[in-house]
Amino acid sequence: MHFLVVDDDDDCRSTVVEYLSAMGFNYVSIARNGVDAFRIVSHNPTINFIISDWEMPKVSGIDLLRSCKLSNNLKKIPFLMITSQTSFERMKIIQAGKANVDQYLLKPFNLSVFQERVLSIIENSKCFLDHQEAKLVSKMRQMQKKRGVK
Amino acid sequence: MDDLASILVINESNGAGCMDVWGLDSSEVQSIEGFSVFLVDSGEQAVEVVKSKINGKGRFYIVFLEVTQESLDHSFSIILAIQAADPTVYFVIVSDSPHKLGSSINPWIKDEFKDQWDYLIRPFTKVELLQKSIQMAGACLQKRRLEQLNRQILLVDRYACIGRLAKSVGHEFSNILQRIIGKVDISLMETELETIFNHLKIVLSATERASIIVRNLQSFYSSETDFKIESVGVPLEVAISLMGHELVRNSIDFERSFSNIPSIRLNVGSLSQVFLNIMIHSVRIMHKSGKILAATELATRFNDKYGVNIKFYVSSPGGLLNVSSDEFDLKCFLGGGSSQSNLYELGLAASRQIALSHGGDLFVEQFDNNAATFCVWLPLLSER
Repeated sequence: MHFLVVDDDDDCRSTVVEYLSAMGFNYVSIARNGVDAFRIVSHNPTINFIISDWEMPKVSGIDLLRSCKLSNNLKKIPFLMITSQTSFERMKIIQAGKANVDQYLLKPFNLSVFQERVLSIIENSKCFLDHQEAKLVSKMRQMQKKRGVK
Repeated sequence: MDDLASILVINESNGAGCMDVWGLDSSEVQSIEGFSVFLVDSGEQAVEVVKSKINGKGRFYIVFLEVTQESLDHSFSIILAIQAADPTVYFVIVSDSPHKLGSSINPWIKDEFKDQWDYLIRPFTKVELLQKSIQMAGACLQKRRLEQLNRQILLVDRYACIGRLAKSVGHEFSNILQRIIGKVDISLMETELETIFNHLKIVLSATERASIIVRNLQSFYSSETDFKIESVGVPLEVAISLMGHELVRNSIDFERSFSNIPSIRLNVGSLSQVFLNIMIHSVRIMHKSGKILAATELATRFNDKYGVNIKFYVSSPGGLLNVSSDEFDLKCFLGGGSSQSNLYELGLAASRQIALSHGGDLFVEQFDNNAATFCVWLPLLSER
């Protein structure tokens, strides 16, 4: 799996990268805004998962999502949107639903919630997983079941 | 009128007037043609009756004051005392001599009460007295409804400001909490001390950022007595600390160009609300990105009083939202395009009240499709 993590907040972005690393996914590219993210994903056909913050300068997360879903080459890439929980943000989630966001994640979130969202997208979107990654996902699911995570 | 409008008749001189025409008796309240009429024999008693009426959650609409040429000064002092108790009440001065009345009364009446009085010349009929009562009660009611509407607008405006501030701060706090939760989560899985140390440094810096926001939020609470001599840069910094991340997220460059302006008497908490509001509105009228330049200059206003302009020049490469925008009506923003008194949209009404409480003003200096300038004028210390 090749992830693209997009967030203008350095600490939040690095947290997501570290969460992915803790899950065993180490092939991660990063971008600080929607413009850079779209450029990177357009030139890297190996990227097959995008995790993006909503509120960003230049091009926001929702604009990046729309651009990706409008592109024939990029529209199948799963997209996890990260946003904040306010009434306004809830309205935006509806907007994101219309733009075919695969999942959303409300800040602040912990590793367990993040892991659940990522695994759920991977399973639902039938992302291509190499043998090692498939084993990893299966192992994480088993561990979740043991901990009682639905 | 909602219920019986109350009229107070002051009859110190025992001369023929309202008392005789309406056949009033001071021992009881009388209901006359839809009015509830009280009769008192002295100015002092009248002031007490007005006060007790307010305490009972009621108000008089009109005070009829019987005056003679000899008692003018005393009568006017009664008017002032009643106005102090209830500034919304209307007066009808009942007199025999109309000629000197106008010139005598004007020096007594403050500007804001100039439209709150009329006179009635003896002798008059019951119909004339009723007509005058209806006319004055109607004017009083209209003024009170207008004031109530203004109060409601201000209240709604304040709630809207609080909502926007809560959203902005909530968003920033969710980022801070994300940093803390994330780094603690990762640290719990980490075995290398140096890496854990680095994560903890980020946690510490996030909590420090949170404490700054909390301190600035607390400084927003301010009483009217919290005025002190301070630089206008201080409230601006408070506003920036709460709004800075919103500007970054919306791709808005913020610059300040503060010339050497003397410190002025200000309330840091309330003035930072004004600056915060102006910045929030500036963000809302921009198309995605833009620039805000805050600059100061010495300027005179209100009959050549010396003061300082704190101007916010707002521009956006995509242009500013125009009058046809569905989101809000710029006529409200601009006070109908000509008057600057109706800045009742988007928190500017509340902000303007704060500027006025500083002896200053808030106004829109320029607004077109490409740029806007919001200006807060505050008087210099020597002028206060």
